Amino acid sequence: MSLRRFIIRRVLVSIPILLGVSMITFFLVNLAPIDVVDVIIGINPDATQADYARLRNELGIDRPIYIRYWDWLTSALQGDFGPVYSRGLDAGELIAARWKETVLLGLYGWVIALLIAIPIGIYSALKKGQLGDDVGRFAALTGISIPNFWLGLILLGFFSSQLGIFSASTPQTPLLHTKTLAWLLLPGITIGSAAAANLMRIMRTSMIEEMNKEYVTAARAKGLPERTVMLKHVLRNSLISVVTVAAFLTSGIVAGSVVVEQVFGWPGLGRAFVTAATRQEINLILAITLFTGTAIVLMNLVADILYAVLDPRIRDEY
Amino acid sequence: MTLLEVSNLTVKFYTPDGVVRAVDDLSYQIERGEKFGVVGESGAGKSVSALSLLRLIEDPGRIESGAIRFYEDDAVQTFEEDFPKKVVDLEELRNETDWETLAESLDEEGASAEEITGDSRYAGDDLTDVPADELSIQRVLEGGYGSDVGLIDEQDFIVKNGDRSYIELLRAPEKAIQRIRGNRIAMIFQDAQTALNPVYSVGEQISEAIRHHLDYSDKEAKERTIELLDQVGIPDAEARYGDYPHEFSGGMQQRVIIAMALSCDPDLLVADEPTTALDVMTEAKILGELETLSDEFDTSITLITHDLGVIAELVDRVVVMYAGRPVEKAPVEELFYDPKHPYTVGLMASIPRIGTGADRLKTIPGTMPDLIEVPSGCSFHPRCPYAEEACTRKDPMLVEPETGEPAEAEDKRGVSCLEYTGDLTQGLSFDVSVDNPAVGEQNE
Ligand code: SF4
Repeated sequence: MSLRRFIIRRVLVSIPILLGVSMITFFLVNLAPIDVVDVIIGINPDATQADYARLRNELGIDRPIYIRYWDWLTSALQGDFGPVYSRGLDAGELIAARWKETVLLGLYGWVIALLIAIPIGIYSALKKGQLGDDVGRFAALTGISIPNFWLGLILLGFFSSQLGIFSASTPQTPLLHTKTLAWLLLPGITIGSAAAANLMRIMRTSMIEEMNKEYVTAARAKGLPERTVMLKHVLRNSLISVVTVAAFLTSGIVAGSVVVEQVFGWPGLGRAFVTAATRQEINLILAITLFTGTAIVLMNLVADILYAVLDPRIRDEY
Repeated sequence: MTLLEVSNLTVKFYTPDGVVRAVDDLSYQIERGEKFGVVGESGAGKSVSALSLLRLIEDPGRIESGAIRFYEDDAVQTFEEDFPKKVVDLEELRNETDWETLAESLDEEGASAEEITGDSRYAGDDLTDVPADELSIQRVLEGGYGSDVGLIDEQDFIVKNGDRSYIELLRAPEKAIQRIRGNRIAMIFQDAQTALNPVYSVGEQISEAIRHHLDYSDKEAKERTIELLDQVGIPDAEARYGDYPHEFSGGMQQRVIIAMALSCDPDLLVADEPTTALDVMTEAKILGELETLSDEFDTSITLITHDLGVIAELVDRVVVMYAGRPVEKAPVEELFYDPKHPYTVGLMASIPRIGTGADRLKTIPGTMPDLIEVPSGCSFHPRCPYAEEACTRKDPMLVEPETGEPAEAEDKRGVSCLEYTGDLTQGLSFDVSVDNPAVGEQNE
């Protein structure tokens, strides 16, 4: 089957998945013991029982949950996620204002992870059992074991307090400005390190595994130079497992952004989420959860497409 | 005319369980255009010997000793141009050498080449006390003294010798050997499904070799590939160029592998069990095609198989291997009509015979030794019905069955069983029934 048909089908399959994600998000968040009316009225001592009931009716909270889901979904599709009570603005507006920061940080983390992991993984595999390989594997193990909030604090402390070359406050330049991008290097490393370490290990093992396959001997028997055998035949096959694992690691990066944004004071959705949770802003919690859920679904979509680009056998699925 | 000469090839694998002697002192020659067979049970070292021809033995394996010489004037010529410093001209050496001085300097070495160079490849003749008139350049070089007495450089691998010039494959640098692989000597792998890379189209996998070796443009390579696919019998070749291996049936995949091997018009095809993974019908067809193609392109074939039926269909001459060693060498008819080695007889009895009513499958009792601890004496003795006491002690040599003399000459038969050196008291007592239908067919 052609790649194009695979992509179309795979995109279509994402639609019910997204619907499922929205459903689960809505029902789970509504299980939380948060009463919006409490949040709105706060500890206003003058509020009466009747005020509560009226508000409840106005907000439609007394209706069955599936109706409320439908309401929420239809307005969400039009960009209306409901108000953020403590800020006096819409949840949708807040996401619109902050999503770029988070996506940029996440992508940055990814790029750093890939830039570190792929070359070192390849190098380790080619030097299997030699010193370079040992160093690489030790670094990978370290990367996996270090929690990212700790790494973030260490990097921040070292580069800002000790060396003084990193300003602890976020730059005021536009997002894609070189200054901002330079500043994002540390948060990017922090968020990407765990993924980098994981990917490196996968890159190394899958490459070593592929090197023992017979098609490699066959490629050598054709007289191709070793470079071509490795970088054309072996690499493409090894990347298949790397892509699979990378898809899993996406959720780790998303979760990591909450912590990293907090540590570095980066004004993204992660920080907004922490605020939303502490202030019990249910609309904002819903909106951010839906946003990240969608992001993960999209990343999986991209991963699957990449997967099919790399491996023609996959194109026959779906 | 000889195309390839394998002499005293020994390959060992250094595994954690011990040293495996996968190929032990194997010698044979393949003539230009000839179809040569290597037969034996699995584990007899056949595949390893095939891979050694292209120097594709991987860790922990090592080619320990021996030589593989490739006599192809055209290849010698291009290599001479590209590696001018790695050429040695035996004619010149012969004319310029002062034999007396050479004999003296050999005396001075005072030890075998193996001891001097520490290289077990040279465990051979000790030439230190040989008189000058018995020396020859060939002997000195083969003995491994060449670089020590200053005749040649250790790295020389292109040997000019009148009209018998050759390339010393085991000495050639990796760069040179890469130009032989797939181009001059190509390999047909046993299992197409694993030998094809699943993520590249079959067309690409064939044309990449053509582009690499023959310097064809993308378009020319593609055209040639389609032609090849068509030649090996893949219907609708042009449309299938871009298809991936998993979109082909097993038989078609095997044809792709054959097309790939033929892609640069090699002088020698090394076919390692090329049809084992296929059903009988497809097998017969592919063997037939292989034969036609080899006649058409005047390509020599080394066919490696456990299946004497396949041997009967395709090859002219055979070497039978057991536990890494050659046990019998013969033209194929003679091997079938008059096998000399008990192991060959056993192999023959295990071919199912069609039409005799009883298609009993006789097998040789026991299994191949594990090659780490090869039995002493004749390594076949634990399974040999004629084994005697002497067989556990004495190592049989490959000798001419009529005379008991070492079977050096290539056209002579060779058998390695003590019977033919007169060391057995009871003798061998097998009858050979000549009713192999495959042989009959071939003779028609
Ligand atoms: S030498 Fe002895 S054991 Fe070996 S094949 Fe001959 S008879 Fe059998």
